[in-house]
Amino acid sequence: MTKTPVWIILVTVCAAICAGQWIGIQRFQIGIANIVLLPLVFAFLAGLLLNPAVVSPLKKWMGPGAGQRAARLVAPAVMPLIVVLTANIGSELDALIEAGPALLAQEFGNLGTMLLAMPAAVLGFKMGREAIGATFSIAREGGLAFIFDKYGANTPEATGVTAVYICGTFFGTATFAIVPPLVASLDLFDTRALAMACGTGSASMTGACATALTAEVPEQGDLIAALAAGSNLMTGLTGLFITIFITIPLAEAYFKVLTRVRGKASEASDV
Amino acid sequence: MSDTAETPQTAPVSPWQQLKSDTWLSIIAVAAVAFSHLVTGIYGPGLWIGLAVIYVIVIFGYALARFIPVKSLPDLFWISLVAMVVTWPGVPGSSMVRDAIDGLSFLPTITPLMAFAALGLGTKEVDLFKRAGVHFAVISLLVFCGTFLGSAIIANMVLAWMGS
Repeated sequence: MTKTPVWIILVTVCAAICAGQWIGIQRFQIGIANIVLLPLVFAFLAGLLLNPAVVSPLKKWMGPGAGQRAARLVAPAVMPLIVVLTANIGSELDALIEAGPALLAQEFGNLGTMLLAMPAAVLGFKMGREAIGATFSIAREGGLAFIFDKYGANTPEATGVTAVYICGTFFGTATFAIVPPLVASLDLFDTRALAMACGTGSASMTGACATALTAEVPEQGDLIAALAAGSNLMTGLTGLFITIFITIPLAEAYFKVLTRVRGKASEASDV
Repeated sequence: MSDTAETPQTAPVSPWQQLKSDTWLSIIAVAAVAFSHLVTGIYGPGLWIGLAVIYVIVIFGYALARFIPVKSLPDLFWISLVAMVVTWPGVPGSSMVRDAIDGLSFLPTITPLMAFAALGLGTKEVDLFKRAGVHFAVISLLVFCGTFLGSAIIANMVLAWMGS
């Protein structure tokens, strides 16, 4: 078995990029909300269609191990984006300091993951402790490692976090390219608040979110990049402590409350 | 994100070997970013200077990551740190570096990442995704919206409260 030559990966990636840039930015309106689809969404879809693991006839052309080689390039491909984003922090420092309290406080907004998703998991889908792993965070590499370490690999919590990790790999970045401009179009939020909310601890999600917001408010591009990158760095620094001391205890308590509510509801319906 | 977990553990590689592979992988990644700009219609000298500067920053960050092995700090941290220091106002040459980086735009810089990510999904991931099912897809969507909205609401409240 010969490995897929790297030029085939590069050509395929360039084809997906072409598809994305050729389709370009698509905008349409649903009610008062704007839907913006960036080229990165189309490049991802094109990449899936060119992926031999998805469309198996392509295996002949790509050869074995194409996925593995492309996967090794994901991290290096994040880095230029990170440099472009963080290059704005120094020059926008005054704005960052001015927004400092908000920047710190919004770190606790990450608790919104379970606030919103755990009721759906426990009450809606009748999940067990999978719900804790699935909703305590956006389940990127760090969260995955944390849950495996704390609860063990063959636990419902691990199943939950793995499932959301995989889903995030498929549409996490796209979600962060679509939802922020939609929320921005509602005109309820300060652009700076949305920019800070972009910092999730995942570089690609942060990048997609900042890019999408910049497409909507181009004149504030540098500020958006600086706030998003600053917030992302802050999540990276504080994330683990918040997870250990606040998120997990809160998730356990919230889970207990929700299962009790579910128990009472089913008792009531049994009568 | 990859199937690498299945490959057997090989002998530990030296920092130099790691760095060598980082430089190669980064060349391919930067080439894709260059291509992405070209098809968008950005091809002036500013692009090439910007790419060169970014490449140097990335490799310098990787070098720090390889030779200062603090396990809890990801490569991303070191590269962010280097990018921040060399663009910090007052640091010699920082305005030139910033101008160079401005030769790149956001959109064409992030598009290649998504192409690599889509191609990097292996059979294992596709199977897992199918098995995870609609339930977990809906939960994931709520999780991503939840963190964004949660942070946006808090940030907005604090900004309004500070009256700025």
